[in-house]
Order: sequence, then C-alpha cells, then structure tokens
Amino acid sequence: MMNCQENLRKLNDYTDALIDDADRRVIEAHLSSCEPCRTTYENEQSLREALRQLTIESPSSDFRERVFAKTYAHHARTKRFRYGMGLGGAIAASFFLMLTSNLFFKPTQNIQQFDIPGMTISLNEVHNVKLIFKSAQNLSKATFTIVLPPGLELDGYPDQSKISWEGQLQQGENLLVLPVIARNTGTGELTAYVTHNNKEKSFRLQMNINHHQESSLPHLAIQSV
Amino acid sequence: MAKILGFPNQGSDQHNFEQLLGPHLEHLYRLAYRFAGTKPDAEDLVQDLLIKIYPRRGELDKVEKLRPWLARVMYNLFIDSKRRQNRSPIHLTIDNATDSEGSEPLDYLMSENLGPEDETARHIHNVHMLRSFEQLSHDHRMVLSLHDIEGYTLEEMTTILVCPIGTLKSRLHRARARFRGLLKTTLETQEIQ
Repeated sequence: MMNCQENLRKLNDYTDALIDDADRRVIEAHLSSCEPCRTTYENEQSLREALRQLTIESPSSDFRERVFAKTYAHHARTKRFRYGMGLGGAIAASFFLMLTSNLFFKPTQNIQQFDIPGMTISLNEVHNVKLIFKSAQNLSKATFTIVLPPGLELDGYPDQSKISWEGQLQQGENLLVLPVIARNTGTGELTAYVTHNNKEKSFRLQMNINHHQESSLPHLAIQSV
Repeated sequence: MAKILGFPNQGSDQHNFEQLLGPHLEHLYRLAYRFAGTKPDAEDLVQDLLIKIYPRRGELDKVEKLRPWLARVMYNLFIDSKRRQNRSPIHLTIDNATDSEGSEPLDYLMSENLGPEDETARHIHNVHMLRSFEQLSHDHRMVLSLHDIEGYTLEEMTTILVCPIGTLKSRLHRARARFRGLLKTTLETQEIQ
C-alpha cells in the first residue's frame, strides 16, 4: 500500500503521464482513498490548466506576410552588399560555359570520363554556368546532382556541397543554368551527374577561382558518348 | 531552341520555404511571446529566426522533427539577444520556492458556469496570472512555457534547452511551486490594496 509521501513524490510524473501502468494503477488506488492527496493532485492539474489558459496578445494582422517579406528583403540586401564588394559588382557578373553533350544512355553504369574543360571565375560574384544536355529521347524522372568543390556554392544554397533534384529531359537540347558563387580561392571540380534508370553520366568542369575579376571565358567543350 | 531545365530557383525556393514554415508560424509566435513577454519582441524574435534559417532552407525538409528544431534555434536566438542586452552572461535567478499553503489561488480559473461578476474576477485573476508568470526567473519561464503551455515533451526539451531530463523535471517542479507562490502573493497584495 502506497503512503502519502511516496504518492506525493510520484504525483508530478503521474500528472505529466510519465510513469508506467503499474505505478499509475497504484497511485490511482491511493488517490481514490486519500482526500488530501487527491486535493493536491487536483491542484496540480488546475495549475497546468491555468497555465494553458494564459492569454497572449495576437500578432499583427499582416504578421505572416511581413515576416516572410522582410526575410527575403534582408537576404537580398545582404547579397547585393556581398557582391558589391568586388569590382565585379559593377559589371554584369555572368558569363557562360557551354558544355554540350550528346546525352545517350548506354546500358552501362560506368561513369564516363573526358578531358576536363575549365573556367576561371572571381570571388563573390554570381556566374551562370550553363550546361546543355542533348538527349536522343524524352526522359522522365531523371535525377540531376550537382557536386561542388570546396569554396564554391550555388546561389541560394550556402554551405551545401551537393544538391539533387528530379526533373525531365526532353528530346533535343536541354539547358540547365547554374548560378554559382565562389567563396574561397583555389581550384576544384564541379561535377554534374544525370541519372536515369540506374544509369549515370557525369560532366566535370574544372573551376579556378581567383581574387581578380578577370575571369576567363571557358572554351566550348563538346562531349559525346 | 534549347528547353530550359527546371532548377530549384529563388521563386520556388520562397514558395517551399513558406510551405514549410507557414504551418509553424502561429506556434512560433506563441512560444516567442512566452519567451520575450511582449508582442513587438515576440514578432522580432520570429523575424530573427526566419532570417537566420532562410540560408539553410534547402536542408529544412530533412530535419526530422522540425518544430523542436525551430524552437531550439529560436531559444538560442533569444538567449543571444538577452546576452547582448545585458552585455554579460545571463544571471540565473535563484528561486526560494515554497509551495503555497492555505487556499488554492487557482480556484477562480477552474470554476465553471460563471456569472458576470465571476467573469470579471476571472479576468482580473488572469492579469494576476500573467503578472506572476512574468516574475518567474528566465529558466522557470522557459520550462513552463515549453512543457506546461506548449506541450513539448521532456525528451524534446532536452534537445531545445540542452539539459538532462532529470534536471528539467526538478526545474519544472520548482517552477510550478514558485509560480503558485508568486500568484498567491500577488493575490494577497491585491486584497490588501
């Protein structure tokens, strides 16, 4: 038989439903026969109920719209400031890599490797890297994966070195524009993978990141399988 | 002419961000209000949270339990802002908690079928409740807000407050006792006036 002291020790856990069935039954038996403990239990419940009823002021009617709009505006300002740090901020900071491939999925899972084309970009500017995939047929549910070298990120995806999504390739040329920003100088490879029906093809691009804004236009690389 | 391949761009990014965060906004505001105590501060705190996490929007849908995760980030932001305000680490209040004795100060709130006079009394009592709640120490307000008001489990709270479950249980117990004591004092002061 539980005494009052034991009961009170476990009463909080009981009220918060943090005890097992066996303890619960013992406490309930005690509460049904002990009025002081039952009063204590009811007071505990009252306290929790009263706390839940504590009112607060409602947020402003436009709170939802305002809070999202301010978030986007804040990051747009930060981005403009960041890009404006270099000379490139005054220049339209985009140039293009035309990486063309005849996308034809052979029945192999091996990743095809080619001589790697390269491009040089400068720090803290958005550069649009354009990839053109030439597909012999319509392909639904293709998976695109971009793997970035250290110091390079996709605009809007900071601190992510790998981004995947699902899309469709249509017969003919398909253009993919990747807005990239360099955060550190150095050299590394940007790799784009296209996967369909367990077959994969990769495109590699050497990225040279300089402090200077004299970015070089990459040569046109034509790859075919 | 080449077809444009879909890439998760800014527009759809914002849409996804709102889809993901929208359902949590009301809850976050309530919690922020419990933390900060006023409407402008609560709105600012939620704003700070969104600004903080927006750059990581690509990862949010991978967070297993988003609501406790958001609560934790917001709690950390709140702590940071308090530290900045105080220009020194937060001094934790030591509560000399004692359980109230005599009549239960919550009786008003639990009464049913109230008449107009009782409703007025209930309103006044609610004001006293808020006043007492605001007088609680930071730690006590946090545990009561999260557990008793917003319904977070102790397990979730260990993640949010980075605190062992045993500590949280005893803190909750002390917080309730302290709150009850403060409420009793507030009501007694009112009666004297």
